[in-house]
Amino acid sequence: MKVVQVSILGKISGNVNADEVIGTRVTLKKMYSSSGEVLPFVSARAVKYAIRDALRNRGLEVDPFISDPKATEALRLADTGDPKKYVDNDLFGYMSTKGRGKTAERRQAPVALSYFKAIKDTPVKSEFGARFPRQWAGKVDDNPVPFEVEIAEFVGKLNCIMYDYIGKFEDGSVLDGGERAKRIKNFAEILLAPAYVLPRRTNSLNIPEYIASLVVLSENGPLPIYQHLDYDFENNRISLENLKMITNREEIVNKASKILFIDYKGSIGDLPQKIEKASVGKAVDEITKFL
Amino acid sequence: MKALVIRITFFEAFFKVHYTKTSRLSYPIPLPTSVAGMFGSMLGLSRRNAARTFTDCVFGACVDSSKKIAENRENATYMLFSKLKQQNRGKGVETISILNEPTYLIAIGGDESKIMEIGNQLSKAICYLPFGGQNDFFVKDWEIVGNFEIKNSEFVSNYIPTMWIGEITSGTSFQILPVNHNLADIDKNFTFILNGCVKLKKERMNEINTVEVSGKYIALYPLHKFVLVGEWRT
Repeated sequence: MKVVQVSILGKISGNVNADEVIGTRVTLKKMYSSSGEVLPFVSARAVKYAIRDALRNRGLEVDPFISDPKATEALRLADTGDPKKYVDNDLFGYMSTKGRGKTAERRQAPVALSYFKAIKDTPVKSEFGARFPRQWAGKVDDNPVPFEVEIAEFVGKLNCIMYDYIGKFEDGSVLDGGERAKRIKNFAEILLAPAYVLPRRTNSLNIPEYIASLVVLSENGPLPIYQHLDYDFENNRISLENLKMITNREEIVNKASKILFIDYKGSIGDLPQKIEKASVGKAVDEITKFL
Repeated sequence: MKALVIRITFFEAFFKVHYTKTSRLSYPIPLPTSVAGMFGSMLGLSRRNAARTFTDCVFGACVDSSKKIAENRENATYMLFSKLKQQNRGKGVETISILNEPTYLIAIGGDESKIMEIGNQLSKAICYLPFGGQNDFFVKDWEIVGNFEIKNSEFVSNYIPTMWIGEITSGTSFQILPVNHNLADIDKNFTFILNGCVKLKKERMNEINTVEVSGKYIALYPLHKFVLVGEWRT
């Protein structure tokens, strides 16, 4: 089984994945660990939503979803379930419910993404603002309404795995080679560039600021690589010690076809042996060729 | 009978308690059905094929003693659709419990030749990456611990129907949660042991298959004793 595994470290600022509004406070999505850490995150769903938008902007067809307000509860909104036509049904899978007691039609996603989650305890601050009465609403004399927006700046990690059945389906059919390669290339480019805009933005456009990506191509199935890309906050750089541990693990070194490292900041000099420095373009080409 | 044991760590994990819809709780340890799913994906089996392959196998998992289970909370927005009030959709926020970096020992037991074959296959390569309950929750690391003999034991260190417990040993920490099973008729509760172990009632001592790994007694159960859904049912 051919797979491509990607681990990305990037900085995210602002109120990116807004959570619920409590009174006048727009909160931020975050986890609280039992040891008291606050870990803001952008959910995998939000990242997929952003990537789906980027795919649409590149002219690829994405699922418009089936909406039937008269249907019973579970069937009111459903995935179309046409992976040949819609790129997101192909990459991210789908579940098309058929009603109570019936097995849903589904596709196990050949591309999985993790949460884009802070890797250490992060302070959450709030910004204040006010909504002033609008003239067109006819309430000019009303008082302004104050509100707060929670914001955070954190270094987070996003993991991704791509299997080789992108463009290959259960009925045995395979997309035309050009179309299949186009889907892989576009997805890899959007993910690694990064060329997606996260859905919520209060201050500015929210594109994550990538620090580094580790890309592992393997003909022998998934390898335990995700823990080896880490950030050294004391020295404010990628942890080389952790990266070196990849080369100490025989099961990774012997099974990986290629280990690529994208240094977006140009801050790393020599990489451990067997880890190759690559540009985004080179990594995208390698992934497309490999899968 | 033999059992193959794998140590596996997830960045996060969530094994949904069956009856919770909005405020979703997670079982602290994956049930045998989730463990079967993990082995199925590592072996590259479809749900239907896994159900067939694992008919005569037993599964279980326990918390790895060196790691403490930490629970996270995540807020999720939910929307209620009412048939009568289609325009007036109820909206609210509920918390979901998510496990932070849990490490488990997961085990599959069965006929010796079958278990050896599975072990050989997994030591060469795994096919798909197993997930911690849903595919947003990635595996951090895994390693094969080894093959072990399946025996009967008076102790259990993972989970067991609450009615079967004779004695809780000193210093044991646990949670009690309902499970959709048919091991016991009256009580549907399972006791999940996070640390320590419990002693079985005398009359149950010969009923449970366990595998002992570094002082932990992992009870293993067949899949048909749990409520299966979707393609697993077929």
